[in-house]
Amino acid sequence: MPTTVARPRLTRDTEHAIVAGVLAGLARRLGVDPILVRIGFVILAFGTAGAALLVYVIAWPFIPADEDVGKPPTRTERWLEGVSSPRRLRLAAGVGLLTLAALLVFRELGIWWSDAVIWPLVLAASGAALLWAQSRAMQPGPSVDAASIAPPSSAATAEASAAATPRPKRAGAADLYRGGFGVALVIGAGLLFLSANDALGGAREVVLVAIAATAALALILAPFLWRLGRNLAAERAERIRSQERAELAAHVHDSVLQTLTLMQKRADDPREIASLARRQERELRSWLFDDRSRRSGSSLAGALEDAAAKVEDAHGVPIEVVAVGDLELDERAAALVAATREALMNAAKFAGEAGPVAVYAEMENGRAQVFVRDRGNGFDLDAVPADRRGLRESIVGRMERHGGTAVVRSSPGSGTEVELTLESEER
Amino acid sequence: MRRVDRVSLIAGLAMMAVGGLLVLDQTDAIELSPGIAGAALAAALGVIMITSGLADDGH
Repeated sequence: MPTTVARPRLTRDTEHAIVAGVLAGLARRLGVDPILVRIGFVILAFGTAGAALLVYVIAWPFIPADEDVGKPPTRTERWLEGVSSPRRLRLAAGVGLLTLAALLVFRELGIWWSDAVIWPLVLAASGAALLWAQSRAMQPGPSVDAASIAPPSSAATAEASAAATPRPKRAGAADLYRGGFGVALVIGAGLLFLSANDALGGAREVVLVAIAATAALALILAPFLWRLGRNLAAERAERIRSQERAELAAHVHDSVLQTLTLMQKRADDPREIASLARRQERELRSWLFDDRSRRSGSSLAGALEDAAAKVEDAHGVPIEVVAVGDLELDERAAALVAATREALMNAAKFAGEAGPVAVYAEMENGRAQVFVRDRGNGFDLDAVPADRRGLRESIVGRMERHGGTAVVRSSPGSGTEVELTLESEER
Repeated sequence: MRRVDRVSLIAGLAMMAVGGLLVLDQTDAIELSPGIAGAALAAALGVIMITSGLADDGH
């Protein structure tokens, strides 16, 4: 069977660089000695009268350095991404270039009016097209207001919000560049038209006066405008803080205060009090730390926590869950959750009076291991009747059917530990 | 079997066509004015851009 070796991505090899590492990176990409590439480049530079050097200089900022790979994109990369990646823009550029080719052919064939009119018109049309596309992109559309559903004053939430809405920032920068380019094209078209028709001489004095007046006005108004901008920013920040406070107050009222009232009414039932407190704690943690992947139902750790919460609510037995790492909730992982739930039900039913049940889950590299421990009286494994199918079928049998294992350790008086393991599928 | 990258194929053919025109001009087989050379180059780039833009659908 043939094996293929993936070539490394083209990056600048700064470790073996002489100038910027472009040639060293190219040599690594091609799998040849950098010396060969450098000799070839020197020959090419002589052969092309230095044009190859220009290509090197152009390639420098476009090829990321080794240490930059994996980092957030730089401003230039973001600009390039914003300008070059949308398929619509490439199609538009392609159509524009074909139109330009057709215009050049018409000009050569003599089917032409005047350079002084056509080229400014072409430039103005291109700029206007960009600006029209820009204005269409800025039309409001449906959006998710992450800030409105996120709890306040939480670093984790701020990160989650930022991660959830990265596109508008990048799109905004790219739109700005595109809009600026469109405006420049239209202004350039106007200037070209005036210049081609010898009308720029008269307009020059007017333009100079306008520039001088604008500069003077800018100098006069700059401090006021700067202060106004700062005041507006401060006011906006205060408004956001005020909204956050209102949202926090509403949430505390709806959840924590209601639970405290309920706890006062049930003061004679310690188990019910503990259950209410733990349920409230879970809800509050979930709200504060807002782990979206766990709430979305695709997380094994989240599913284990949900299962523990349901058993805790159903039986009133405190269950402490510690989950390290996480995996995607696929069919095998769902079986592991079901087996864990069964083990927890058993622990809650037969050992709930002895204290909290502990769940420790470790999930990494495709492998998941879950321990369910209780402090009950334990039992003799050999004495379990054959018709008790919960342990044999719902835990051991279920794990084995999905390629996992279940080990139950228990003896009278020493509590019970159920160890559930799912190995990585690649093994 | 390795799939053909359509964008690279079209770009290569377009560049070959432009290169062919330049070679014919150098050998005096045809007389290429700057306007026609520019039109050929713009057309080649336009075809590449449109192919690249359309190819995004397939990825």
